Amino acid sequence: MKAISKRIRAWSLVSLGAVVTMLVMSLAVPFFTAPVMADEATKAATEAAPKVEMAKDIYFKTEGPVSGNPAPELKATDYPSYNLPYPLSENRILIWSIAQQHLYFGSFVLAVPIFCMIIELVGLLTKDPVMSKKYDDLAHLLVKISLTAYSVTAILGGLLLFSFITLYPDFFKYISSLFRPVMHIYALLFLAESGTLYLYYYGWDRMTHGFAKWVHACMGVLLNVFGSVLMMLANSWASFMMSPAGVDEKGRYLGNIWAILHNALWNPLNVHRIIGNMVFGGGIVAAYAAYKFLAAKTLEEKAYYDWMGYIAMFMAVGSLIPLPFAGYWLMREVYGFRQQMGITLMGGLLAWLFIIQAVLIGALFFSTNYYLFNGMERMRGAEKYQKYIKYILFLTTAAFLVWLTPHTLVMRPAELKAIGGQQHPVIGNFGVMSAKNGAVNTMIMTTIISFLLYQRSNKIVVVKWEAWGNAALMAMFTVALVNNWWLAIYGYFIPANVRVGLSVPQVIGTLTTLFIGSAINIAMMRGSKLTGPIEWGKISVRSQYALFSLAVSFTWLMALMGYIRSSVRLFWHVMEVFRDNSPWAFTHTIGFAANMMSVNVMAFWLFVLFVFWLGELTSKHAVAEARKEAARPAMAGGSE
Amino acid sequence: MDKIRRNAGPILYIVVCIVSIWFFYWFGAVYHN
Repeated sequence: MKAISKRIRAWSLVSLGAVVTMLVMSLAVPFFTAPVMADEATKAATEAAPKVEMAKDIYFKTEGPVSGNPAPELKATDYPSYNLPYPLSENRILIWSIAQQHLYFGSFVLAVPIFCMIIELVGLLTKDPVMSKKYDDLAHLLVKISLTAYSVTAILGGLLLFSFITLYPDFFKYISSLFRPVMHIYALLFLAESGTLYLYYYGWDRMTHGFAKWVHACMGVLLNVFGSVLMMLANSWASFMMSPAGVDEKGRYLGNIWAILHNALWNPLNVHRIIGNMVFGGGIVAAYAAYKFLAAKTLEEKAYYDWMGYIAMFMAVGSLIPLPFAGYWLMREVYGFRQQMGITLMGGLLAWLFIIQAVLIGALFFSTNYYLFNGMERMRGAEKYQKYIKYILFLTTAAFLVWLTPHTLVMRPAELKAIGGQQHPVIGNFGVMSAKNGAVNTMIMTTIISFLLYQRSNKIVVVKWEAWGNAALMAMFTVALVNNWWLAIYGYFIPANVRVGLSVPQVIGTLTTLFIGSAINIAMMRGSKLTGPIEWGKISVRSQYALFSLAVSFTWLMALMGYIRSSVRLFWHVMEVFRDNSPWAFTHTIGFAANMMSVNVMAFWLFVLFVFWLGELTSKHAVAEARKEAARPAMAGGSE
Repeated sequence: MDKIRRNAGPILYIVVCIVSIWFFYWFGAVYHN
């Protein structure tokens, strides 16, 4: 036995070493190429010393040696297209669909390892061996679901690459000349990620105890490092097209790859996308669990998938709460980079799409609250909190209505007349950003209140300071909400550049209720009496449809915001550097764009159902085992 | 020493996490000239 554990220990260390080596090798590429390039540069410099032309970086305003060709000036005939019926005759429609599907799957396979890393660690830190195994099995099941999606992502990535090369040859030649080392590192990291993923998945049953298990968890962390770096590199291409840096005004490369990488919108996009991936991945896993719950034949199955859906929903909503703040930062940086770009997005051509976004975000918060209210049915003793639901719902609805009120719309004369001017005389006042910030913070806080009540549903608080704890919670939420509303009103009376800063104290108030509120709530539940165990599986069917609603709304939201981010460049391939002279360099109508998004969303969900079904074929045995385990803690009381 | 050996797993995990966080700081937040 000891010999086996030693062998496993050695084997797991070798695996970890291999993973680290892959990481180092991938990232070492630029250090090998740099001296060669430097030699070439020195040689060129000595041969033709006076010829080195210096130019100014378009964004960083630093001087650099011109090291590349200017962005090409294309003609309509430079875009080879297929002779297909409209709209497929437009190359961008093909790229749009393929890129959207690639991004959906890429997002999913980046989010799943994040969940696995967290859930595996929770399993490691859980002292109850039954619950620990339950968490570990859930993490294992998630990787299994994502394996097929991983291959699909790679295939779609290949399809996207070929589409770029064949449909936009000049554009791709220019972009790849700038990002040459980045693209190579990307490909090598992809190899490293695949290797790590296979070691992580196939090593799961070998590395189950002690040190080997921790090594396995470390591989989970490194898998996420690879995944996140991959995403950041790919983000740099998209953000460069929106906010170019590292090139001069003609689009000539100035020799510093870091300047291109660190363009103005790169980091805001990185943060926003990582958080968005987690909401999206959580939504898909929750939808998978809901699908399995609805198809379940026995109470044990229902219990297992109800629990899985709850965990996935918890992850998704935990990420959804900070997501608007990251989005706000991204928009703020867009305005900072080019004010006109921000106005096109939120006050011009694309403003209607932002109203649709507001409605969808409202749908996410309503779905979440509805699921939590329904989730109280799992617990005896939750009745005492159900009377508060109507107040929470009222507050959320009021905030939602303010949140979706439009401000500046493109309207026909008849519509203008009906409304009474460009803005409605009364509710037009809710259309400005000051009101929106107040509204979204209110929606987030009501969701936090729902969650705190849900956590308490089956517990009787026994700590001596119960009255003080409740008073502190009440006071904190009251102060945060009043502070939030007061700042929203105050914002009407001060100039815009000052008002932007008000979002900070509003966010601080919301985050205080989230972190301090949760901490007080958890402290109050120390040693509390249970009114009964959580009866997993005893939840309405409607709640599972709320999970579907959450997942599909978010999928549509991603399609919408991806379109907005991309189409804000208008007739530029690379903003103000590389002009789009294709015959279709106009902006689509909102109706056409929305139909395209719907087609993409439906195609993706059909694809996902296929992936789930494939996962079913291979994992029936494993799930049966997991179900047996799942039945036990529900009987024992559970530590949830 | 024995304590370190007993907790080698968690220590390795924490080290990997710290190195990963440092890497993202170096890669994402530091401007390289």
